[in-house]
Amino acid sequence: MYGVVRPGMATAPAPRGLDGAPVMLEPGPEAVPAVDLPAAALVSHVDSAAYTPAAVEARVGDVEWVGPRAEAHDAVLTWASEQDAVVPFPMFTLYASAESLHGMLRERGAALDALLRRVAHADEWSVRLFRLDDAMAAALEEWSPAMAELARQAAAASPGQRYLIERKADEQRGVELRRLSVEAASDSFDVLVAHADAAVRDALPAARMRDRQAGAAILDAAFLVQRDRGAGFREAVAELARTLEPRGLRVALSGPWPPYHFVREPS
Amino acid sequence: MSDSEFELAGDERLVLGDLLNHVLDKGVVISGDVTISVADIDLIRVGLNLFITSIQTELQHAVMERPVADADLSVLRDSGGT
Repeated sequence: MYGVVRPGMATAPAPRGLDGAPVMLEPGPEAVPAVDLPAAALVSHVDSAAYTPAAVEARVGDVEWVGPRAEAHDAVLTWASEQDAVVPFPMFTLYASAESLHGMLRERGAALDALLRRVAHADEWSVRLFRLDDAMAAALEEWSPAMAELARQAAAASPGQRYLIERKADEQRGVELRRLSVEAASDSFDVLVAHADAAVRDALPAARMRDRQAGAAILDAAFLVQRDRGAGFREAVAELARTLEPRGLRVALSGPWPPYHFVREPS
Repeated sequence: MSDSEFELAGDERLVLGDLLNHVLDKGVVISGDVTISVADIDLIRVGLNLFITSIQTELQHAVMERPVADADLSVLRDSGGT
């Protein structure tokens, strides 16, 4: 299954789903009102032998295999989110029978209904910040009063003193880069939260994966934004980019996505 | 992961990494009454999380991983791109 929507969504115009299979609503229109459920699932029938837990686990690391399936899954959810509210489920959520799926919809109906209301008329946007160390170091004296002061002292000092002050500046530079990037990440998140209805910060890639050329990620966040606030949110991101990019930080926006990050049921 | 799994063009990898990051470990996770859910799959063991993570470090070059309909964010696309 791809996700949960309101009963009655017309799926004829939906894109093809997993393995090119048609996307259907379960329970379908013919079942209403015989099956009275508060939500319905977007599903496709797939070959159960190809999608056993062992088969999926064996192939899910194969990008060539998983890539088109991920695209198909997302395409169905993106289409659905353009029609009406959708609660995304992750790839590889498979049910053996319509009955077990109906059981889930019935059991979780109230929670799914609340989630559908929460994400209605909203999109998810991803914002990432990257620290470009060389560019940031070049701009540091304009950004950091402490580094500007050291530079001023070095310029005014005798050659012997200047050497010592420059050594101190070298030591301070890394500390200031880290401090200012952490601060910029938190401040940026706070600024965007004000333009969003909900927000989450994802864990950052491990430090060992960092690459000086590519830039280290310092913020990976998702925002749920009502569509009528979308323009304001995007303008806030653009404003952040205008402020931060001269300081050696890079801002990347992607979206709109279905609300993948905003449908976890309260535990 | 072996290098052979990284043969996609740069932009495609970035799009795919971002996509997988959304569709694989987000959304409502059901366990118990499903045949499979992503909760049952050890993504770390299969190395996919590592793939996603490595791609995220490259996103400096992925100015926009997903097209944005409006043109008003061209500032993001144009400033400092490669």
